[in-house]
Amino acid sequence: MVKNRVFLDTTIQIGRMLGDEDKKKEIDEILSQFNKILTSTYVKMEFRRRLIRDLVYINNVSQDSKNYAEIYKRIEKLPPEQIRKIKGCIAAFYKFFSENAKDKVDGNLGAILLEKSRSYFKKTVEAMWYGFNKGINEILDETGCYLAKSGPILEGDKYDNRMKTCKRTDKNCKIVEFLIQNKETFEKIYVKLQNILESDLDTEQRKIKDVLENVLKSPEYLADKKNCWNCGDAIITVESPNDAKIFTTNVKHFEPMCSEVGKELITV
Amino acid sequence: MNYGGTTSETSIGDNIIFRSILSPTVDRIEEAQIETGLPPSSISTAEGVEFPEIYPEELIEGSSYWKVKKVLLQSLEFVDNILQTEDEIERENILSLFRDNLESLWNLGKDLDKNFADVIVLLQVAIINSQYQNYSLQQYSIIKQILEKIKKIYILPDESSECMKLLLDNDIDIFAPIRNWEKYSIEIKEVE
Repeated sequence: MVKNRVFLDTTIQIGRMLGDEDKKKEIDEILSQFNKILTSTYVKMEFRRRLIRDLVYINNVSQDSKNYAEIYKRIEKLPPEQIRKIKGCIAAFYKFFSENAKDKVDGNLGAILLEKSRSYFKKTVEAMWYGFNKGINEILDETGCYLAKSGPILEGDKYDNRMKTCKRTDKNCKIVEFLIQNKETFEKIYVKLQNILESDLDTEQRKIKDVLENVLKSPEYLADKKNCWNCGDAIITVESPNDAKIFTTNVKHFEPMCSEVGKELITV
Repeated sequence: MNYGGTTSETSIGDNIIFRSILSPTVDRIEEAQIETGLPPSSISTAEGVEFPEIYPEELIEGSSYWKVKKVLLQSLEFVDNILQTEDEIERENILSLFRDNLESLWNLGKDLDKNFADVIVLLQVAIINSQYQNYSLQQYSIIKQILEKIKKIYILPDESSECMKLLLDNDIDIFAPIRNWEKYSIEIKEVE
């Protein structure tokens, strides 16, 4: 049966690109049941500051490192959860190209693969940014997110993925207007989070609650980057159309908010 | 911000310079105009222009350009064979040879043109991946189309991007090498 509309959150957009074969297949199967696939510029901004940021890091480090040992030394200083992801991508790439490679016995494989990885990650950043729109019927722009309007810029062989620091004093988006227009829905989310036992909330949910508490009193503060990024899940919940199902892997965060505002959630 | 690498603009400039200086015939100038997409005024025309006594690199047997061109023609032959065969095992046999052929192409071409080398790596991803997934004839045709696009070897960044988009738009999974990142880890040891 063909259902109506589905709204992809950031976790699904990343899963489509970087999930393993089973996950990708599962996502594709679910998407094939809908006749319209939506996402938004706000989701694109999150995609840029998570996935694109990591790939830009791998590319830029690869471009100016002499060998994998140097790359690994540089990765070591990242936070543990990022070390795992970055090393995992490098290891998967290495594995993909090294199987049956003839040069292994020469001990030359690392140098060859590093050279290939420089090409690969350079093109992959571009491909991921392009791929965000693939198969999407409509990209909503309720928040007018400025940071999604442009992508990473290739300078030589490295990418410049700096994102403007959004400030309420120098606003380039419609996030405050979006909050004011949807104040009632945001209030419902805030009340829902307030009613959950503090001990049952994780760090991110606490941040959403705290930001909402402040910005519901002073909406202009939502235009500050930190506040805007800290309540991303709430913004995505509100931005998704009422008739569209929100597709996410982040059920823990989205479920309480969606049930409160009457939006349906699907996951893999 | 410039990090000191080759900029796209330089690359575009190099390409045009290469084509205009090394093209001794009217035909080649016309070809250059078509390939770069630039208006005729931006490239010297044959009339009244004295070409330096330099033969095109492609005509110098044994030059890197010539070697790459030769291997690339073999690549096209491999794709043609893949498209023509109806036997699955035969196709796999050809794919295995094509994989080696692309490795040679990358080895020979990587120092000639970065944009060209970037596309070859994507084609390598596509062909390695085709050993685990069944590609349609349409997808192999896309690979052929890309080889045709890069046949001139010196390609522009935009042309390299077009090749990437062709692969993605035709569901050729260029993200396959990093798709299973959660399953892998490697240890690096420095050796003498």
